[in-house]
Amino acid sequence: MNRDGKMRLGAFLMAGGHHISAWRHPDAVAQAGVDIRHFIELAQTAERGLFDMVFVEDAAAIREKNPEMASQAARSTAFEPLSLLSAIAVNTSHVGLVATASTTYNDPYVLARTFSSIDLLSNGRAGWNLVTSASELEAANFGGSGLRPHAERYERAEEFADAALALWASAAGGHDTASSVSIHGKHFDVDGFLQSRRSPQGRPLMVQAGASDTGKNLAARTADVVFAASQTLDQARQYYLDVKGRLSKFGREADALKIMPGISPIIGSTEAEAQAKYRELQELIPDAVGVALLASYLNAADLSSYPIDGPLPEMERNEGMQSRQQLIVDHGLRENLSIRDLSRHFAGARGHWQVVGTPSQVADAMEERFLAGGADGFNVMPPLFPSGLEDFVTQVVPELQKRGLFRASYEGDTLKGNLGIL
Amino acid sequence: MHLAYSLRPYGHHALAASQSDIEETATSFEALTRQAAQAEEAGFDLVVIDDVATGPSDAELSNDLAAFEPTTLIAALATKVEQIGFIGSASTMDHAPYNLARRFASLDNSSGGRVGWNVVAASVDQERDVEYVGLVKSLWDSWEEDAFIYDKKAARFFVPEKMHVLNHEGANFSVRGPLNVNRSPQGRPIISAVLSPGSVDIAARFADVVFVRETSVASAHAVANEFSERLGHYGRGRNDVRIFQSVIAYLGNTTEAARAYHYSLNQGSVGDTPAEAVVGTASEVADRISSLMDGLTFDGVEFLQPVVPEKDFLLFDFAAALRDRLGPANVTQGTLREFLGLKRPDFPATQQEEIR
Repeated sequence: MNRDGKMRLGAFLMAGGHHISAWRHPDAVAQAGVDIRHFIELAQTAERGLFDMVFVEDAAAIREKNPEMASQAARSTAFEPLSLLSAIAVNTSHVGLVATASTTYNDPYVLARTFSSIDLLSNGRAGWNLVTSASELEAANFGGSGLRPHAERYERAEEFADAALALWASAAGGHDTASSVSIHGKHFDVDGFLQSRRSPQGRPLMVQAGASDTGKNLAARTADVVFAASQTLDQARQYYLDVKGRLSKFGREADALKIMPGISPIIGSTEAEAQAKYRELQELIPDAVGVALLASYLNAADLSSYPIDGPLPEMERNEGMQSRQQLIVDHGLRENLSIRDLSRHFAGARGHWQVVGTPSQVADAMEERFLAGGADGFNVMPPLFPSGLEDFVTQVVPELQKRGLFRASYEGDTLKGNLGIL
Repeated sequence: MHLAYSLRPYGHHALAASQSDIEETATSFEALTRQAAQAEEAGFDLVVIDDVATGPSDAELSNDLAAFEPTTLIAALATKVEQIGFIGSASTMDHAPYNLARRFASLDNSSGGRVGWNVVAASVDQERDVEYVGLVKSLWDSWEEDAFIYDKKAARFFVPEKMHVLNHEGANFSVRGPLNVNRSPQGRPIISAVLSPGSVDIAARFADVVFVRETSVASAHAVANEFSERLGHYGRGRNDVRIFQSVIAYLGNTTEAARAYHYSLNQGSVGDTPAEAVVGTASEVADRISSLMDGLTFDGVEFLQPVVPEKDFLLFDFAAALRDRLGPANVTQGTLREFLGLKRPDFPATQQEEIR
């Protein structure tokens, strides 16, 4: 829990919504993915709700290889995150702007400079969610030499993060004396100053979501915020204690890093209405799409040859996203779910914690996890945009404020200032 | 006749920062927005943003340079200045081709089709840059015009046959595709290049727009003519491209004021300027430019401010005088391609190999 007793909130933006079939919902604007005004308005809604940040994910490839399958979902194309956040930056004033970018297929100087540019456009509200790229579709767009093993991806990520942090420290301005960078590592050679200025928050916020052992160590060493996916309170607490426990090794205090698991809230004025909303969305999922999505999260080639009403087959461990994969397999075993049920379950919230209920029930669930030491805040993933975010801001946020669990106004002007990270 | 405005915080003269009447906030986003908005109001077709700080340097950023990276700056400016086009520089050595294709395709979608990529061919190996730019262009053809149908009832977001996998295997790059961004609202983003003897060939292959920044009229004509002739090698014609002559214009309310302005910066010498320099009132400068371009191969003028003033009244007179001498704008709203009167590119179905 944070020193001030208040939770932090992020809004995870996505064109139609987080539900895989959100775009088919009667309220959804199907073309939202190419409408910049849609995204600017979502960020402004989050800002009205006093959210700490908005967040966008990234992949440098289409997400589904089979064109027939891909064409039934809205996930093959999207705005590129860094230019998207730049457009949002100059149309908001307080909300933080966090974009995902991969250390696997970028250059540290160019990426550090680009985030620095967004940090200046927003007067100190930018953040970088550092990821490594695990998908074969991405690898094929960058030389096609195949996927790097997990350990090597993280070795490059460590070096990349250090280079970016050193470059940001070298930018002119502020009270520190700028000093030229000289990095000669296994993956990069960088000499000189970052050609940019120091932003009002010093440097962009560092965010991570890695859940493997290596990923958690990198987060404990370099991240200000960690996004996580956990289904149960026990999992959440276990993860929380694990990551916070690693901080002292790197000379950091527990409060220096905020852990913000995802939550997918489906809000209704009654519980029955919320359940009906959930069912309405679930019924929009074509079976083939759900199963293909499940296969992609498991990094499995194909699940369509297995009986859809039977259990998941035994999975081999591969070089893809190891932690997410385990979470899904565990859930299937624990709840004894068929491939169809498991695929629908994950198509809804994509492995994140789903809460269906009234505004006060949603607030209860968040309060419980927050007070029980499972989270410093939450990354909110509405199933449907814009209504799901609007409902959260107008109904859940006031409930959290009434309970003294969320701010009544922004504390500062920068992202790090509002998060309470210095 | 087309007008481009080259955007720099203080101006293009080496002494601009020390001579400008604007404060150090000239490098702020608000000040750059004000410049772009004035260019739009004056009737310019597009703003050009060069990249001045691409790699790590052994000196700290100089005070007169904007700290914004061009593509992020354009994304932000396009939400505030809603008609004018934007061309931004990016180097072929800074980004993987897939990432660059994606950034500009995304910018073109977010701006409503008003964006161009100014190719900075930075590799020592020209073959590599040719492959690079060709690859970016092909990635922009990943989706056909009418690929996205958004059919909620049939659960069909796009027509699978209208998505094209590139499967590029070249000497320098291997890229599967498709690009994960929708087709550009103007078909493809504009491609531009600054013309020099070294860039004539790659420009003739790919560029829709070229800027001639030679400091003498003779060399400007030479390089522009060489470029025009080379187009034929690649099956392209003169009407497929727009050639801009860059001009650094010292404008004054009177001839004397303009001369004093020029003298204060250059002490009578021609000075070290990045383009052809002209001095006078808006009307005199327009006459001079029009005689320079008379009967020759140019379609437009790229205007470089020596020093950016706080409020630029002369910009309006200058644009009006040029329009008067050289002809009106094509259209006043639409995509950058429409501004420039360039044909929308057909989807090259025959060039696409479909392998899934």
